[in-house]
Amino acid sequence: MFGLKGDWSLEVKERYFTLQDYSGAEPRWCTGCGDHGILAAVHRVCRDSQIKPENTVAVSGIGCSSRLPHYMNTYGFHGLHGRALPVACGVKSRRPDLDVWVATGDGDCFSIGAAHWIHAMRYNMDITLLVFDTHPSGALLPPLNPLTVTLGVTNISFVAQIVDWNAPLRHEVITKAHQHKGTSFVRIIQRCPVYVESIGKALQDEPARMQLLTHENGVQVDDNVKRLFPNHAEHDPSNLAAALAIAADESALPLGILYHNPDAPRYDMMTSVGMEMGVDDKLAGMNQALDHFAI
Amino acid sequence: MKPVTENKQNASATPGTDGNAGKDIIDLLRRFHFGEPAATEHTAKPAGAMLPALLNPYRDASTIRYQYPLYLLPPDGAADDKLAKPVSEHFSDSLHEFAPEAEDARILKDNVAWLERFLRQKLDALDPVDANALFDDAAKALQKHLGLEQASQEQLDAHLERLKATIATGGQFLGYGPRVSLHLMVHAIRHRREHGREKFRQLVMRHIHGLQSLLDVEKAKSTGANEPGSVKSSVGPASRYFDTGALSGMLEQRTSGSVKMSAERRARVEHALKELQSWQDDAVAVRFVGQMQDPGFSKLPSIEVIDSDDPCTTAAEVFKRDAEGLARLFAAVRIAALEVDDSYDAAVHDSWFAGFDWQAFSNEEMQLQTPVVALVSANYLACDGLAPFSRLLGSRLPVHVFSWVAGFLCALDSNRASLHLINRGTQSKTKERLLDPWFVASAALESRAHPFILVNPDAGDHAAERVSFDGNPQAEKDWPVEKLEYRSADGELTEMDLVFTFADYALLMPALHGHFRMVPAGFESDDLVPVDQYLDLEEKLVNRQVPYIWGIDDQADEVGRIACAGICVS
Repeated sequence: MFGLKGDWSLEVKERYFTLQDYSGAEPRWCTGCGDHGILAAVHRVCRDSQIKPENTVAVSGIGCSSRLPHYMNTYGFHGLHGRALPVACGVKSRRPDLDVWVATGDGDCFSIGAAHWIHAMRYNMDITLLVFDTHPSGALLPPLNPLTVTLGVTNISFVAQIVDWNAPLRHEVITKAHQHKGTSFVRIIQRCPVYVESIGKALQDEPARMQLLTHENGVQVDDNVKRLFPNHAEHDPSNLAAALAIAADESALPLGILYHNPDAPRYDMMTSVGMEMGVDDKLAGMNQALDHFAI
Repeated sequence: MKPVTENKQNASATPGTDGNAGKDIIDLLRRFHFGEPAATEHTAKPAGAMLPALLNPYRDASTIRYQYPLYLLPPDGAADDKLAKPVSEHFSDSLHEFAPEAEDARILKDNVAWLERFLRQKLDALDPVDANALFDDAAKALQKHLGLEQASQEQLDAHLERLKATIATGGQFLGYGPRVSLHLMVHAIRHRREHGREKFRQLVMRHIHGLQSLLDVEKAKSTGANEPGSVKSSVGPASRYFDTGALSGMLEQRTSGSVKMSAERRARVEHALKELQSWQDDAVAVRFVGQMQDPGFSKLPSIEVIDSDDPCTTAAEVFKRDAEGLARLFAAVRIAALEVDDSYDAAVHDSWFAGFDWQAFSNEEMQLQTPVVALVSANYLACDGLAPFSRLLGSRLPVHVFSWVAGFLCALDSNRASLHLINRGTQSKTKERLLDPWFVASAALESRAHPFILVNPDAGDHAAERVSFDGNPQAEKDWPVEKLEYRSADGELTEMDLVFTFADYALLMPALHGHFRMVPAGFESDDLVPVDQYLDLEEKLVNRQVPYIWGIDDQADEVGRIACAGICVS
């Protein structure tokens, strides 16, 4: 309407959070490690969405990547090797109001934690899962393509892949992943300057080995970012079959959102039913249910 | 924004079009529509908090950004022709200028809405306030509210300083209130005056100097100018080095043969000079004539308020009085120009200046006159004031008549009487206002109840050229059409096109609620038609159909139909 613009919001928040509000201890990662950039992106996404630090939980397993909760000024859980996802699912199932981030590495997630990975994907709880992968060619693991495995899990809802050294793309994808209601699987190809420097460097030197996925429903980056990647492919993230085909094609590493289904059912919605009920209500409900079996 | 829900709760209690109950309901509504008192008693009036469905999102204006408060640019600080701009626009433009990237001045950008809201709350006062002082308060309050750690605090301080630097000294913030139209008019007048007056001041000084030079030359021709005393004073301190008496004797012989100024011309020049020298700039920017119900306004500097029961007549007298004084001044200016050029021709100009009055003023001269504004009520114009108002219009005196019921600038440029009709966005007979006045005024415009109409006789020779409807929303359509998002009874998110008409605007006036009746929830009938479609009906169909609008109250959060009485749509 003329002058009456309902979307012209002047809503102000009671509290405002800066990047410092999400920054915890001084990061101890090696110089040149891709983890620094990922941490910065997580801080920025938290600040952009103004989520309360006390309502945020960072969960991790074991490995370099799993130091992330120490560097967040939020609640955190530095768990056991391969068990980041069960802890995160536990937190989310009882506290669906919390914003849960999971930081895990390729070994932590795809190897020792593989079983939990598959089931967490299936549960589709509202969790942002960042996999810091220093071995994209499977040097550490037996031949396994994490993208095709993830896309093959029933009830999968969000799958994306990025490289840590492209900040705009990294920020956009992590933002989309965080906004998604469900488990967002983001595989981040990460540089490790100490142990496997050659892997990241090879990709940086040969951008033609990567393929940027573009679509109006995918990730939006400007032309300056697009120019860095010689290969582009138009891909609709709602098309699971196409996503699987792209993931299986080993000639180029796809970057962007492979699959996005906002309507997949979420297990945390089911586990939170009745949470507002008191003990008496629960007893009454249980008695009512048991009455069905009364003779 | 949360979508509202379609009300179908009682659909089973009121059968649809087929049942007898349905027929009774539509008969009852039809009888109400035609004004039958019994039907009026048996139907429910809308609740006091009922609003047209499209306006529901605006109940809490504090969360919605609109054009107010305004940043009024000082007359000398305006880099362009803009007199004012919305504070939100000014902040947004300035931030974009000194912090173009998304991450630049991020804390300030994220909290600029907080600043705007603070300013709006502080500007509940009726008058404009100094922008820089209020911005300082807002900046301090923002820092206190955020409670940032030191590095961020210093960063924010630096960005707030940069934003403050974009506010010119003398700039003001003006919130929306009952006096806003008068303040904007005074502001526009001050802007124009400032430039015109300065130019005129320089012109007067130039003519004073020119006339004085003429008289000095004339004095130099007189014998008195050659007397030893005059020679001595004209030479100055150097006179002690020579014999001024001897010099005087020499000069006396040289003056013979010079043509002296005629006595009439000398008197004319002296009179013009006196007139120019006695001119004092009027400190008053605008004179308001009428019953000023708001005593606070009259205490503002640069405003004179003249009490009168008959504002149109008094305003005309005040204008003539002022114009008389200015006519003498402007005549003196013109005479000075002619005399300095030595082109004054008594045979031609004497008669012209003898009849010189305001009607002979040039446009520039007319702009120098302090505007006179008659403040009148709509009732005055329609009753007792109609005759004096008509006389004022007939007189062609450029007096402004201001009634609260459009752009000032066109009228300020005009040398004719002008009438300003202003909607102040007030809701009649309501204990607690339902909507911010700015939204009510906007709704008046939106619904075409008070559309923008500008009639400018100077715009062209044909009536079509003189009348302008530019600025009305969706002017190409009969009525503005907007989308309403709501959740249907089945829970599905649905959109419908809603037309916003004068009947919707009437629902904003609780005093007019008697002309509306609630249609029972869930009741459907082919004989119920939206007001806009009703107005397009053929005459033979009008008697069957009942027009309705969509409304919503603050409690139910459900949209429902409201039938309109015939008087609303006839």
